[in-house]
Amino acid sequence: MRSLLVALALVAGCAPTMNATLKTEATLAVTSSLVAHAVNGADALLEVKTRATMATDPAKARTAYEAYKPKIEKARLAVHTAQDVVTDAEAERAKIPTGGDASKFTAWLPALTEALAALQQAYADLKGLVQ
Amino acid sequence: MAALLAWLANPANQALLVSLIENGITAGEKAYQTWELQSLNDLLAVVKADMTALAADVKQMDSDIDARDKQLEADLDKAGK
Repeated sequence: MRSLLVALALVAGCAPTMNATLKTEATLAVTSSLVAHAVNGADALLEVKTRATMATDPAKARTAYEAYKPKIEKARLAVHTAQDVVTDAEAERAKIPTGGDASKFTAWLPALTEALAALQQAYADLKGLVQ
Repeated sequence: MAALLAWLANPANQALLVSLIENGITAGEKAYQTWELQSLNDLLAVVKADMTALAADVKQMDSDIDARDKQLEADLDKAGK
């Protein structure tokens, strides 16, 4: 009976973490794509605004460009970081069907969660930039 | 019930019952692991597609921004002179 309870506890304990990690990984992969598009779109929009300003006031246009560029780069970095994290987590998950250690995959949950939060912040910052 | 309890009173039968339960646990664990692996394989195909799309989107983002920056910086320099 004790073995049964221990086995059930182990299985029950593993399943939620595996589910949470899988869900976060999939969410991060999709969100990273969306934010990549958002970064590209925001940069394109800001370029148009900069060019409009450049026509009448080049110095002001240059100042505006140098102000928004670091923010675009920060968002770009968040996308790259997310891509790296989800790629590395996926590499561990791909090993599981052929005998890989599931705990090495679930250990990625904190990093995946952190990368997702950073992407969400980057997206919010982009919205502030273009509005 | 009385017959079952009488049966269980025998240590050999107790050991047999534990063995049956443990074998059941082992078979159950194997069945769960098989299901889990099949589910993971199915999900793997979906996530692979997402990863491929992500790589393409990031590459596009980088290519577009770098090209835009290069041209804009050149034009800003030219306009500032």
